[in-house]
Amino acid sequence: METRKRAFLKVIILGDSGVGKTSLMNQYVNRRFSNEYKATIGADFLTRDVTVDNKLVTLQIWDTAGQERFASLGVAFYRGADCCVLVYDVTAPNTMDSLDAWRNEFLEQADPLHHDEFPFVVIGNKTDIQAKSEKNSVTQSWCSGKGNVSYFETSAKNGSRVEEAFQTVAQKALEQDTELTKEAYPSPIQLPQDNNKSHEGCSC
Amino acid sequence: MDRVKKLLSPGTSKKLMTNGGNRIFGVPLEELVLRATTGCKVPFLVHRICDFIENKGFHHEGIFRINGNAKIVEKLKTSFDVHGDANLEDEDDIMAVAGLLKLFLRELPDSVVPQHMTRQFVSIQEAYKNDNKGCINQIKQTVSELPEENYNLLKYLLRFLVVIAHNEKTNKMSPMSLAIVFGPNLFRCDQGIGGLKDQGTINQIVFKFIVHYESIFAGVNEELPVVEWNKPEIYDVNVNQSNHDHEEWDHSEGSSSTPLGRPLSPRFSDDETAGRASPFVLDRAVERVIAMTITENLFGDEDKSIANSIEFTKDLTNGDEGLESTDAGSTDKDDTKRDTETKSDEDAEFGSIKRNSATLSSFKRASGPQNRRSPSRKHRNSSGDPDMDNEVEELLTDVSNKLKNNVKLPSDTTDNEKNPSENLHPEDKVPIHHPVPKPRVAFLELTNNTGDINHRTSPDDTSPNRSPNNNRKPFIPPLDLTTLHEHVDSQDPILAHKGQSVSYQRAKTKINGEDGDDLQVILSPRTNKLTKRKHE
Repeated sequence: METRKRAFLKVIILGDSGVGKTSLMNQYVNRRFSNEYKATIGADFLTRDVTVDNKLVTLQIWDTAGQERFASLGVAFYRGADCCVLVYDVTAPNTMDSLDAWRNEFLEQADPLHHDEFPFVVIGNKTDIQAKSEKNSVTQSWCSGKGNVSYFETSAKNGSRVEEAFQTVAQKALEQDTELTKEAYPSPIQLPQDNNKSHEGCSC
Repeated sequence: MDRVKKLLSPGTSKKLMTNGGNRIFGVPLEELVLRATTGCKVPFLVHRICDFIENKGFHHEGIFRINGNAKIVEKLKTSFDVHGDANLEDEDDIMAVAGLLKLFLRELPDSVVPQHMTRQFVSIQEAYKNDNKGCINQIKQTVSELPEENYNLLKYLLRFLVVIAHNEKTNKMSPMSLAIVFGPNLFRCDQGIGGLKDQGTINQIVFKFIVHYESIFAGVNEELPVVEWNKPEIYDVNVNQSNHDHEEWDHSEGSSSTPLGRPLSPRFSDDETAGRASPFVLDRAVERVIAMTITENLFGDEDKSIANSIEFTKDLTNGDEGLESTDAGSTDKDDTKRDTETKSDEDAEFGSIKRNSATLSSFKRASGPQNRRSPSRKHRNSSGDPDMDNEVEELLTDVSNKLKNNVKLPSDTTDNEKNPSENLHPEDKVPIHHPVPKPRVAFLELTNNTGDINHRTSPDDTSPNRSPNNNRKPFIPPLDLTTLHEHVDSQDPILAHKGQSVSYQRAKTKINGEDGDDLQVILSPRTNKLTKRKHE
């Protein structure tokens, strides 16, 4: 079954409207930041190749719309994700409060195999405006309470820690993918070797 | 989010049940209008929220885009449902109030533009995508067929949005951003993938609603939205003065006027659909210069209030597309010059994020891979694309030909190409500075433009748009997210939408120095995994 040459990993970015999901993706993939202020419709994705554990993998990063109206579209986008990035705005504390809701939304819609072990990465964005999140400790404890969750504070504007965060994303996604592959393709079924016998039994 | 809100306050639904008589959310529009005080054509809640936002000011960054605090939104909703009003002033969360308005619209039993009419608007946008004027006329016609209550509410909301968009400088909400945010609240598209595609088209309609408000909604003697909304704040004293100056300006400048005596602003093009900076901003800058010049020439050293008046009155004309525009003369030239300058700057600033191949090409390529994938690329390739020259000009011709011939393009960008009379930025045709801009709206407005990235940046034969699967799958539906996870090479049957499959092309970059070996489609076992898991 191992015909593929390279792991192809799907990553979903979720979070409230205006926290910088699109900007993060752009900073990571294109190393650019734009001041353009525009809501995302539906979803969009970019890809980037990255090396994890000496393995070249392709990250397909899905940027989603934070608008309430689009929350219900999740299932079409979330399916098959290997890692989910939850983004909030360190300058807007209420966007952190929504993380729980986004996480639940994702788990419900994507319905991964093991809800509790599914990898999440939480990103507090816009550290260029405010160096440290007010909710830093709250977020830390939220993350540690959820199992497989890492936490980063980044700035999509100046690129601070973006690379690092997505490296972790790639790492986790690869682990998840490897895990799933193992489960999806268990050891092959052994066909009974009794062909000769049945042949002998033929009395035609 | 709705589900989230319910989770956050589980008791809400019970309360609503006991106060069914006063409910506001989820109640048919006609009933709400009947309940409203006489003379008020829109539901009380809408009036109340718009007034509140107006009092708070239009300057809040990301208004209507940023989510409000979900708990506060829910609290306000409950308060409206139970008491018929809520203490918006106490909450000090303007985003929540704005979110409440959106929630109200989404919870109407039928949308502001009734659902059965959605199709009509989609057809108009698709049929008239190359004929802006015809499109506006058709929209106007169709809008007038709306039930009275719906029409009134739609018009009321659009007036409001025009003012919000006018304050784009401070709130950053351009007409297109507002259209993206309000499209799903004013119209109701089908759930699912088809509806999502329609949504992109519908957002273009809403964009036109905002930009061409005057052509579509305004009555003959109607005061323009900006006058009305700003009056209480700025123009209590100076209204008469301002009208007077307005006339003065009109004649002295010799600019063309509508039969109503309003000067047309010819600079309001459809550029916004292309994700460019709003023309409002440009207009302002231009108008400021004009106003200053006029003030100097006409009024010498008169005090600044007059200058402001002029500026203000001129601002009012911004919403006008200038459908009959033949504005010529010195002002126009000046404007054009200014526009060029301003736009160049803004292009340089915004160019980086636009997934606009032509724009990107005029910038230094980032070191990162630029391997955006989109099914639309397939579409383009399959249409027998000849080798592309690197000349942007040729690219443009090619794109516009394609648009004419065979590519569905729900965006308006072609208008600039096709209707020179409406293309009020002649410099846009100079592709080096202003290549045909494309909106960054992902799958919803699948255009053939994404493919251009590779034409531009990887002219060699190993460019990623030459997918090995091109021959096998000559037709790719423009939008089918359900199949995005499938792989062409997979032997497993594709359950949903047989025969429609989108293959991912392995994009490659020069940076990584990959060779053709890597061009093959990468298999992901996920599809199989999912299937298997279900059968287990």
